[in-house]
Amino acid sequence: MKKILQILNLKTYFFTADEKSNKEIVLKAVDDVSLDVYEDEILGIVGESGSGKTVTAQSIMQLIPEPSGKIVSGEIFYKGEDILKRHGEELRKIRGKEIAYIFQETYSSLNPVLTIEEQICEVITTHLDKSYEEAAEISAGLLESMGIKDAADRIKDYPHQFSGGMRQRIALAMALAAKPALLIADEPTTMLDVTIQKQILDLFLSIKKNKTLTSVIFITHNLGLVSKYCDRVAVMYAGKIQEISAVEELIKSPLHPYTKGLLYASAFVKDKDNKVYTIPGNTPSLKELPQGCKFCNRCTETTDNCFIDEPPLIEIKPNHFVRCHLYREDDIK
Amino acid sequence: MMKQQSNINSLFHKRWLKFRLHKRGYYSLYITVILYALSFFLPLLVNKDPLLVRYDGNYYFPVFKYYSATTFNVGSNGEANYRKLKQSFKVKNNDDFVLMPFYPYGPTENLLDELNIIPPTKPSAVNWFGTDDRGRDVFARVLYGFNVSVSFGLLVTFFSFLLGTIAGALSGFYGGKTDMFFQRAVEVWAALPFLYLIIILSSIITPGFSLLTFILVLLNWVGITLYVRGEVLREKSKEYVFASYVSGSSKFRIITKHILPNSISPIVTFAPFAVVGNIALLVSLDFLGFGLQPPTASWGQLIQQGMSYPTLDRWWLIIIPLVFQFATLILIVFIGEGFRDAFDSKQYSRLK
Repeated sequence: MKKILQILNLKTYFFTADEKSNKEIVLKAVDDVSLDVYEDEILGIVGESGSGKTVTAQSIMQLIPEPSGKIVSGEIFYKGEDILKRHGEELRKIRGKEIAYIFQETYSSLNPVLTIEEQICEVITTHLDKSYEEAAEISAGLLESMGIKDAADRIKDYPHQFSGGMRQRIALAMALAAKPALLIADEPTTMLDVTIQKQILDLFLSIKKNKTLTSVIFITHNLGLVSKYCDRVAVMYAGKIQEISAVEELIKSPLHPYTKGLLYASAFVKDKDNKVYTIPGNTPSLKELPQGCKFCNRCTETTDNCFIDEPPLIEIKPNHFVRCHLYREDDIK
Repeated sequence: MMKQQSNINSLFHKRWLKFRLHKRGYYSLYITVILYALSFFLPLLVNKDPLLVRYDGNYYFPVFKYYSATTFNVGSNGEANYRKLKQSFKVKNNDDFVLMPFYPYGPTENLLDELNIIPPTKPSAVNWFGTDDRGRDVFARVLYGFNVSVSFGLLVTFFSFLLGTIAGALSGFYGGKTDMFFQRAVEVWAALPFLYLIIILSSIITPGFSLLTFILVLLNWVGITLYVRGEVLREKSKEYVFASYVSGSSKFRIITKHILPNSISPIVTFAPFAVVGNIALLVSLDFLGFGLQPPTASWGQLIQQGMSYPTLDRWWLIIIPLVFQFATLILIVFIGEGFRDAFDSKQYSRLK
């Protein structure tokens, strides 16, 4: 399969001062992440809060707020071109046109003083050679296909006249307005209730079937959603990818203790005391990451080596990578 | 039809509806707008020049055009005194006539040769509010002064807010070093001793209306920058700005289409109060003699004339302009209150 996006050794660090010693400290929010997105797939990125999912996605679009944060090194190839080398005007041609981004926050993702039409048309007229009237027609069609009834009338409405779920549909229409090839969805359904969540995600699938959109990067902390909607999944922890594989494979035979923990922690698996499993401890602060494996102080299967050396990401089975000392290169197959 | 429906739901329309609920503010706006619009037609209502003169079978329009006194065969130089001309026509009792405006005295004309006593004269049936110490009609001067004062207040406010908004928006949007530079510059600028500077400037150059406006705009614009900057800083961190950013919109578009329309609240709510401040400032500068130069109609000058006399014998020169100033300012303050309530995001005021 062809790669649409290839992230190579991406390092995005944040720089802040320590409150006590006033020394500069470096927070490695994304530390040496390599990731491929193939054409015609939905790639899930899963992890707890602070694991670096969003920063990875924002790095792709060069949205890291400088000067506190910086893409220190790495390359991101989109259709063969290193887009991190693009700046200013060149970069704007990619944003929205080639790669679109939608957010978790549905209540403030639309401008309260403009109508929906004006906002969708803005994206179209920025990137495509269309007049406002043509753009308005396209927008109405787009809203209709997002499942908004009476789209031709409702497009003249203002954001506050829509519910949260509707707004996320509108945000989705806006993101897709310039026909991008890759969509990055950063926890697009976290703010919505479960029934709406399902509707929106089903919409994702149907869009991917019908439109020019070829690939989606779907960021979430919900493994249940990933198992239903994604083709492949990357599990992130403390700024590093811990495991990548196809979804069925990951659900059936997770390798990394963290992935196992996440799976057991989903509400459907209960232990013998009829309690939901939880991973012990908390997500470590990026300021005080353990030496060795970043998960070692919460892991239940540690060996001495785990506290000293960081394991590399190795391919245990075809297309199934894991970063854990429990598995060795020679274990393959 | 559909367009109208969308207007009903726009945020600004909602605020307008809310403003209309604020009766005092709404009617104040209504009255102020009508009075200010009328004040532009003052030359047709309160003027020494007649609207129409018929003389020897010809028609003349002195309001719009200058005719020398010889045209009407009275005097040899300058313009005819049309009030006297009117009386002389009456005596002749032929077809000639003079159609004077409603109140036949101009704001800058001195009436020395019509007054029997040395001006200033007290209010009378002829000169309703009396005359000032140069023998000019106070009623006309006070009305023309309304136009001058409100125009001045509006212009200074508009241009200083324009400048301040641009500066504040750039400062807030770009942040970092730009912000740092702008803010320090604003602080230095704001620390200039404002009144002294105007006094020094106007003693060097005698400022006309536009020059005084220009000077005050230059000194006044810093005030609003801080509010706009704060508002822009808040708005730019919102998701919809980010959303527009990631969909490839240019920075100019983001500022003008997304951030500024959402940062309008402080601009609109401060504007009426700024107008009030600028009118009061003009009156005080005129009072001190550093504002608009005579013979421009001005409230401050009248008050100064009234106060320069040791006793309160010239009471009408003090009270009448003050009453006009007070009425104007209170109308605008009411408008400001209405705007403030309309832009308040709380639906109902707690103190009702």
